[in-house]
Amino acid sequence: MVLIGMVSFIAMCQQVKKIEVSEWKNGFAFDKDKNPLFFDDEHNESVNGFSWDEKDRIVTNGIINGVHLFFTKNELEVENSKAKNPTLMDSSIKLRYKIENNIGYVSKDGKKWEPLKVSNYNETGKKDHEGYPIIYVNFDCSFFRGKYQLVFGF
Amino acid sequence: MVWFDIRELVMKDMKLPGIKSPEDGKSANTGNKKQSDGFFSDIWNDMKGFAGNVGNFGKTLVDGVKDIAKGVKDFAESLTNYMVGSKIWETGAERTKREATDVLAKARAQMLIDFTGDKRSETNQKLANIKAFGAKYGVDVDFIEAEVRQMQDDYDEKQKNREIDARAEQFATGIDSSNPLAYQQVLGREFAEKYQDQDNVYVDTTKPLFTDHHDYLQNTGVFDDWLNVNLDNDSTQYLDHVDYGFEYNYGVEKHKYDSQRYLDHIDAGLDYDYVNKIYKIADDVVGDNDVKRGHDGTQNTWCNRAFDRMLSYAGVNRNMILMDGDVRYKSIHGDSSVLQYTRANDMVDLAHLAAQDPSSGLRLISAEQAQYYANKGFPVMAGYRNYNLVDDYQNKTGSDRYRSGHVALVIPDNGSYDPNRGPRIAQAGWRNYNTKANAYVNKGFGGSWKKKKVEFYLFER
Repeated sequence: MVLIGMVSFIAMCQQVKKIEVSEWKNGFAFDKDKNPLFFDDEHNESVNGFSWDEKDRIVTNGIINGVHLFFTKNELEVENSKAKNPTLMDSSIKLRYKIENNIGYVSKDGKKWEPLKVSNYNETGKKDHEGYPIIYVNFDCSFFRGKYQLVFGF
Repeated sequence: MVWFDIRELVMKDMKLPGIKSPEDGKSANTGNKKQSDGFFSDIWNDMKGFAGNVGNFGKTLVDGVKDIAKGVKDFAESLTNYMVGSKIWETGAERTKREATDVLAKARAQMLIDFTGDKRSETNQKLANIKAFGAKYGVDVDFIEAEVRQMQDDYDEKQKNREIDARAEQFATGIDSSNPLAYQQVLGREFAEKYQDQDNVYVDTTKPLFTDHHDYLQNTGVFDDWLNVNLDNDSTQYLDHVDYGFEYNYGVEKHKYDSQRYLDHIDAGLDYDYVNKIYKIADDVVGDNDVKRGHDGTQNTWCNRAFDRMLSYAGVNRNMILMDGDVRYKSIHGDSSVLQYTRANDMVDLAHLAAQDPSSGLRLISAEQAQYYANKGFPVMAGYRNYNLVDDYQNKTGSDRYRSGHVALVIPDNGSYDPNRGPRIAQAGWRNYNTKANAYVNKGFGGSWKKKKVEFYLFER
């Protein structure tokens, strides 16, 4: 009985363990090992959105779902486009977004939340024609997943 | 049957003189014959008497028939007069006119019920229909038009006062009794005219008229002219220029969208005819292939091309934000020809300069005013001037090059204004947003909006 209680206590401690933010860059929080933790638009003044890397896009019934992401403080708009005109927004879903314990969460209804996993923040060292850095990051949740390019231009 | 009835009536009841019945013919002859001169003479006299009687009878009979016909006619006229007098009968012309009047009365009543004041073009169309109908059936409808025009005037006056009150409320909340006339310095003529005699109205002189940004412009004199222009009242300039169309600006070509000029709807509010027109322009242009990122094999974006085209389709004079080369190019190749020289940064630079000249037709306004005037029917530009240099461009070319700025068209929005997201826009760019996207400045301009670097310019005419 005591053992079960100790295991539960340890499990609870691990569950609420908060990874500290050691660095901010382009709206992303990073831990001390430079792994991206979450995106916070309150810390962002340069990234205008995220576009799914063209090479990885999946077309379903002529539609690219999640082709572009746009964060605000409490909302994440996931845009869809027709494959024949991927620049033009065709439709979107608006997810709720929150940050708790340095983890970003998304929800469709504000009741059931799931973490938005962020990984592989990759500064390629290359620049586009406007001189903006080309940076990729991976997002993963049940609504969308993929390798996204940070958009700095207009 | 009529003949027999008449004969019976004539012979028995009316007892007309000189007519004998078959039963008493002899006694009737006795009174008419002359003194007898003999047998044949008597016969001859009897025959003459008989013939005379027949003639008299025929004459009397014709007169009787005439009398009866006249009686019938008089009766019919009396009946008609009675039926008409009792409003049971009416002439075809009268009936048509009456029913047309009834229709117009119903139309008038429905029009008054439906009248909202902000749908001016719809009201005008209904009035035109009523006038045409009235003219067709000879019904006077001038009173209906006068009535509706009066309602429209009343509405406009109230609306204007509401707007003035709203502005007054917005800026009069902070009280600074040290300068009671300060409101005249910041609010403009409408407000001043209304409140010039009210000594108890104050505004906070420390509260800027334009609350969002542009600190660097506060001492440029850009706003001075604002005090001397009453946009809403200048009806000769902004109203009823339905036929301006495209030709007014350039005289070059007639475009499919120019049936009504953009600025005709200055007082229309969210009049749906106007909204639908602007939305259609935005949707058509933003969906054009040549404003799609990557359409030419590069990663260039085409906000300037799309914005210029939207204004072109709306018939707006925008020469003041085009490079001279494009002004010349368009004068030759048509107003809707694609830009050759003017980038988004150029547009914002030129707009900034033009806004300092009151005669330019361009005015710097706040973000909230941008939405307000877009809803009123004004074309409004949202623009960001990018002062960041393209990395390594100097090293490679020996000259500087700024990164691309951004421009978009502010479009009408029927929701309440949200200062966090800014006005509603249509744009091309990294992402193209038509009306369906329901995008706002915060989305199209991203970080530049957060840094309060987006400027808004109103095209006055």
